[in-house]
Parts: sequence; C-alpha cells; structure tokens
Amino acid sequence: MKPNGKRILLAEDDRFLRRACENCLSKRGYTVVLATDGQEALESIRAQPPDLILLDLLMPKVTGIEVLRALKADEATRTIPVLILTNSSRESDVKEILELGADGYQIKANLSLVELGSRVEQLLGV
Amino acid sequence: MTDPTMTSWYDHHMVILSVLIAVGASYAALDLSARIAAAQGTLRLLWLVGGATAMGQGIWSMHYIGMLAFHLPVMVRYNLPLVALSLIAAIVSSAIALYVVSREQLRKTEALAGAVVMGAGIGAMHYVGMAAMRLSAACHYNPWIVSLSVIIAIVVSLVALALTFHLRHEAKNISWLKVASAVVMGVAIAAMHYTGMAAVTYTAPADSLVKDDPRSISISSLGAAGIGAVALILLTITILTSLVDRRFSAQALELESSERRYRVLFKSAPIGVFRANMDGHILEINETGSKILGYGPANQPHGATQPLEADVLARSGLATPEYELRLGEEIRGLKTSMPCRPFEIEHVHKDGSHSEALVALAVMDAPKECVGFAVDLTEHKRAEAELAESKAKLEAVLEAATQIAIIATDTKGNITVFNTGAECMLGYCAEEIIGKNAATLHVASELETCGEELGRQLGYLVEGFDVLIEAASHGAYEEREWTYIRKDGTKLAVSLGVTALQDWQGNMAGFLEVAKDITERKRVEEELKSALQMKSDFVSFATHQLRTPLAGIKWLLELAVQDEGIPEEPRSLVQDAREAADRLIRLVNDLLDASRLEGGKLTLDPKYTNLGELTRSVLNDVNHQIETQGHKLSIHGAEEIPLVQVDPQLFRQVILNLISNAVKYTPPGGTITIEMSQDNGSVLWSIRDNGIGIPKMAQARLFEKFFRADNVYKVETEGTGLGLYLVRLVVERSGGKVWCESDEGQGTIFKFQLPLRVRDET
Repeated sequence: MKPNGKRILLAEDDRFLRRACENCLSKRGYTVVLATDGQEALESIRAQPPDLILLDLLMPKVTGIEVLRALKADEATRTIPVLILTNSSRESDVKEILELGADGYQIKANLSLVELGSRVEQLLGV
Repeated sequence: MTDPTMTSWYDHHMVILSVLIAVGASYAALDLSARIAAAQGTLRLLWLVGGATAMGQGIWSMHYIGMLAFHLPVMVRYNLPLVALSLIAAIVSSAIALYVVSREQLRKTEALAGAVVMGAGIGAMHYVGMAAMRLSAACHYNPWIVSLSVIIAIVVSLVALALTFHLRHEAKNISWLKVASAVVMGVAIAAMHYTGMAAVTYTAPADSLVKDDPRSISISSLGAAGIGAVALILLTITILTSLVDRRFSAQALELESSERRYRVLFKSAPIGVFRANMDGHILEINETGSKILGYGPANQPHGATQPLEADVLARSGLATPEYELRLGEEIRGLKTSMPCRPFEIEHVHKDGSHSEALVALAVMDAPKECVGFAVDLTEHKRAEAELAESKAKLEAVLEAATQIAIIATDTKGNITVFNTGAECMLGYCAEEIIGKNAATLHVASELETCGEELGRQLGYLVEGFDVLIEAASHGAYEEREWTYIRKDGTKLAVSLGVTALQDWQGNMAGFLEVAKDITERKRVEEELKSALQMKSDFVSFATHQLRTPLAGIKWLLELAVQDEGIPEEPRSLVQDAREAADRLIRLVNDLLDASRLEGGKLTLDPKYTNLGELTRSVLNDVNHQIETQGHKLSIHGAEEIPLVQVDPQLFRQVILNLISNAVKYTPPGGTITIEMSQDNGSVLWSIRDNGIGIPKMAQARLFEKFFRADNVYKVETEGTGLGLYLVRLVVERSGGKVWCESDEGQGTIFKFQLPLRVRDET
C-alpha cells in the first residue's frame, strides 16, 4: 500500500503526458489508474470509483466533456472531484466545464508538476 | 296845387326789360365766378375786372331802365357825374362780390362782410342814381322803406354770394339750377330796386322851377331801350365768352391730365417704351428702355423727355449701327398701326457686355413715327442657357455613370429617371421601367421584413416603397444594403442611398436612389471572413497541438531534474532544456492570445478592477527579476485610482508585459516609476524607465504584430514581438488607447488611458 492510499483516475490520450503525470503522482504515493480515452475512463470509474479524476478534454471515442456530463448525471459518481487538464483554452469549453460542476481547470502547458501535485493535494484534502 | 303828390306810372315793358337784365346780370355773375376761380394770375384779374364791369353794368342798366320805366308828369333830366358814380358803385360792388365767391373757401364772416359791402354798393348805386335825377319836383324819401331796400340788397347779396359760390363748379354750360338761381337773384335785385323806388314820393315844388343843371341830360325812351340793349349785348358777350373759355379750359385741363397720365405711364412702366422716327432713330425713351436697349440713364444728355438725336447716341457709342439698322428695317416693314410681331434684338454694349431684348413696334400716323416697347431678355436668356447647360450636364452625368445606378422617383415611388448605370445593373431599358414603382425592383420579402421592423420602432404601418424612403422623407440620408431583382429574375446585392428631392419651392418632389453593386465587395468580405476563420481555427488547433507535446517535454524534463541520480552537468543541461521549453510555451501562448483577440474569439469579461492592486500583484510576481537587476522601483497614485471596468485577466497580462519590458530593457541599477492618475473621465497608467529607449523610427511600428526594435537584440533575443501587440489589442478592445514616449538612450514612458465608466451602483 502507498502511504495515503488515495486512488486517482488519469484519463489522458497522450502517452508522454500520461507517463510524466503517472510518475509524478506515484512518487507522491497515490494509486494511479490510467485510461487512454473517454470510454475507458467511464468504464473504469463505474467499475471502481476513484477519489479524484484528472480528465483530459480532447480524447478519442468519448470526449472529456461527455465523460464529465455522464459522471455528473450519475448519482454514484457525481460527488467525485474532477480536475480538467487540457491544452485547449476555448472559452465555451471553460464555461461549460465549470457549469457542469468540474472542480478545476488547468492548461497543462502552463502547469508544472509541482503545481499539479499541490492542486491534487488540495482537491483530495490531504 | 291841391294835391302836392305827383301822379306817376310805370312803363311795364321797361319794367320787364329791367327784370330780364337783372336775371342776365345774375346769370353772368354765377357763370363768371367759376371762370375767375379757375383762372390764375393776370388772367384771373382780367376775368375779375371784365366780369365785374359786365355785371356791374348789367345791374346798373337794370337800375336805370327801372328808373326810366318810372314816368313822372314832369321832365326828368339826369346829372351825368352822378350817373357815372352810380355805375362805378355798381362795378365795384360786383368786383367785390366776384372776388369773394371766387376764393377757394367762403367763410361765414367773409360771406356776411361781402354781402354787406355788396348790398351797400347796390344801395349806394341805387340812391346815387336817384340823386342824379333832375326834375321840377321835390322828392321825399321814406326812411323806413329806404332801410328796407338796403336790407333787401344785403340779404339778396348774401343769397347771391352763397348761391354763386356753390354753383361755381357746376360743370355744365347751362344748368337749370343755375338758371333758376339767376332768376331768383334777378327778381330779388329788381325787388330791391322797386322797393327803393317806392321809398320816394315826388311833390310839386313851391317855386316850380328846375334849377338849370348844365351837366344834366334827358334820356328818351329810345335811350332807355339803347341802354337795355347794350346791357343785354354786353352780358350776352360775357356769358358767351365765359362759355367758350369754359370749354377751352376743360379741354386744356383734359389735355394736361392726359399728358400727365402718359408721363406717369411712360416713366414708371416696367417695360421699355420709346418713340422712334421712321429711320429707326430713337426720339424719346424711358429709363427702363434706356437700360434695356443700352442707353444708360447717365448717357441721356437731354433728359428723358428730350429726343435723343441719333448722332448723340452714335457718339455715346451706345447704339450700335447693326441695332439701329435692325430697328429701321423692322419699322419700315410695318404697314399699319397694328403692332408688329415682337422680335428679338441683341446688341453689344460699349463695355463688351451683351444684352438681348424683345421689341414690339407700332406705327402712328401723325406724326409719322413709331412707338416701341422693349422687354429685357438678357437674364431670361442667360437663365435659359444655364438651365439647358445644367440639364445637359446632368444628362451627361447620368449617361456616364455606368457603374452606379441612379433612379429618381416621384413622391409615390414611380420611376422618373433611370440612368445608364441602372440599365446595365438591372437589365431594363429606361423606357420600359419609367413610370413603374421602384419597389418592384426589390425583393418583396426584404421590404416586408424591414417594414415590420420599422413599424415596431415607429408604431405605424410601413410597407412597399415607403420602407425605402422612411428615413429620406424625414430629411435624413440613409444608405443600407438591399437586394435588387434584375429583369431576368436574378438577384443583385446593392448598397442603396436614398435622398429626398425638393422642387425650387422646397416642397418634396420625389426621391433619388443611388445604388452601388456590392456583389464583389460582399464576396471579398465573405472570403475574408472565412479566411480569418480558417486562420483563427488553424492557430487554435496548431497551438493546442503544439502545447500538448510541449507540456510533455516540460513535465518529463521536470521529472528528470528531480532525479537525484543525475550528475551535475547533465542536470544543468536538462534544466536549460526545461527553460527553453517554457519559453516556447510562452510564445505559443502569446500567439494563441493574439489570434483569439484578432478573431474576436476571446471575449473580454469586464469587471470592476483596481489597477493599483493589480499592478502590485504583478510586481509581486516579477519582484525577483527586479531585485536581480538592482532596479529602483517606485509606484505613485495606486491608492487613489478609481475602479475601471476591464477584464482583469487580460489587464494583468498588459501590465505584466509593460513592467517586464521596462525591467528587461533597462540596464542594471535603473529607475522605474509607475504612476496612476485620474483625469477628465479617464484613468491614466504609465511606466517610466531610464533604459535603452526606443529609436524614433521604431516608435511608429512598436505596437505592430511581430515588430521588434533593432536595439533590443543587444539586450536579449528571446522576445516574440507579440507583447506590445497584445497590449494594444487588449487596451483598444477595452475602449482605451496606449502609446509611448521615448528618446533612444534616455529611457521610455509607456502610457495607457482607459475611459472611466460610470459605476453601476446596483
């Protein structure tokens, strides 16, 4: 068991980002569950709800927005905190994300891993 | 002698004669007064003297004949000097009477005084005449009857004066009123006379001897008849003279007023009037005529009434030979006194100006000369020519405008003008479309939609052609886009300007529609729009695609640096690689922002923002750099600055870019001053440094995209040329402006100004 035992689902289609992110969070003692597209993410979450979801927006099959909408529509998953990690800064997206009830929104390129770590800690209330 | 009173009797024929003479004298008096009143000066005196003589003599004759009608049984002789004196008394009293009544006014006092003098004169004449009697009898005057006779004389005189005065303007030669008055007056005079006669009674004298008077004569019945005849003839001559004079005088008066009327007509006629001889030389011309025909008033040496001799005109250079010839030619062509058909003449004045006139002539028989009338046509002709010229110009313009459709309509929208441009644009020829309503050229649904919109705004129904002219009919110029339908049914996008046309009195006469084909413009606009969209889409996509691997590089390098197993040298390399990745990310971010601001995708989210706090917060972030460089930084006015309505995120970027520039382009140990102030409804934010400055040449292009001044490369090479461009985009989209003041090598001030919007308290 990792020190804090929290489970984080990371939905990210880019393998470099996925690797860097997983590496960073694992070092901090989290259990990281990976998903490479929206569909996989939803299935994983429904099978075993994580403590936090890190969600990319532009993903194959099912987009991040659709995942978010599905999560928020489902009683079982709506309370799980969601942090959107994206490289798109389309305003319409940002607006929709916040309206749907995401807990945060970060541009990946503008975020360092140290900052990501603090943000995750904050969301998990560790 | 048992009865001292002598028997006496009247010769009735003589009495009638005397009464006739009295009536005649009265008539003469009535008639003469008018002549005297009408005459002036010496003539008046002559009339007065002559009239008084005739009248006085008439009265006197009446008196003597009346006396001669009285027969006494004794021989009666007359003392000549006294007879003459009585005649003078009669004439003088007549003169006084005529003078009084011939005056302009007759006052009551004057009339009374005149009557007294005249009555006294007549009375004197009467009693002097009686005193002239030499007979062998004693005469006794009854003072009562004498007084009565004098009173009658005065009353008769008063009546006579009043009648004469009122009748003197009687225009007719013989009026019954005048005759009746004369009869009344004559009878009254006779009555006075015979009353006077009745005042005397003759008695046989005691000595029965008549003193022999050498100056006395006796008058026979024949003599009496002679006096009567002379008196009547004299009076008749007087009356006839008066009658003739009256007629001539009336004629003269008529002639004079006719002449005056003619002068007034001649002088004040608004057209030129002239007389000319049969050769065409002008004899007389009025002022208007002089102006029209070019004889200026100053050049009329003899005045308007004086004939202008042809040689005078020629010398003054006013009448050109051609003009005179033309006039003569026209005059000779005239056969009758019927006015000729008006003809136009033109001539050149001495000063070179040109004038034209319309002239009509009529020939008069005696004297054989010609009357002419002239109307100035110069202005008229000039206006006519101008009108024709401007009409031709307008037509040429309409014709030449092939790229612009010009359509004029009446107030109802029926087409009156359809130019070449309209023909080309719409495929109709002018003939087939003129008279049709301009609304038929439009897409009906478009008019309907616009009409509904107008109806909502104005509260009344607007439809058909009225939609097009709603603004123009209220005096406004409106240009908007419409779709025309060509003759072949195809559609055409136009920009249509509509203005109201006014007639010369300022009334609405119709509308003018000027249409430009905007198909090409629309196509270009569409292309530009889609190109901009594509570019913007591309940039958004590209930046996203770029940012993802960049984020990967950045994170992986971050992880690598954290690996404690890496030796110092490779760690430093990885650290640099990470910084390079960061710079690349910033560049991509700037590009993305610029693209989004340009494409209008990044909407500003204005909030009441405290620029002072925002500035301090930015300074907090860059404090490390400032300290490293050893700059001295001060900030003024941050506390007093009012809130402004801007997008705080974007303005954070603006302030950051400006502060970063100052820090970067100022050599270590520099001085940087930030100032904020409020002025006249706006807020001013400025940053001053004593850095390398900006070359003058570069200042104009400083805010352009990707522009970098030459001298920045000496300091660092990593700038993107997007920082100030973004500053300008944000400031301008917030309604403000940004500028810089700088001397190369001295330092730079950047300033931006933002409007201070009224804060909404709710």
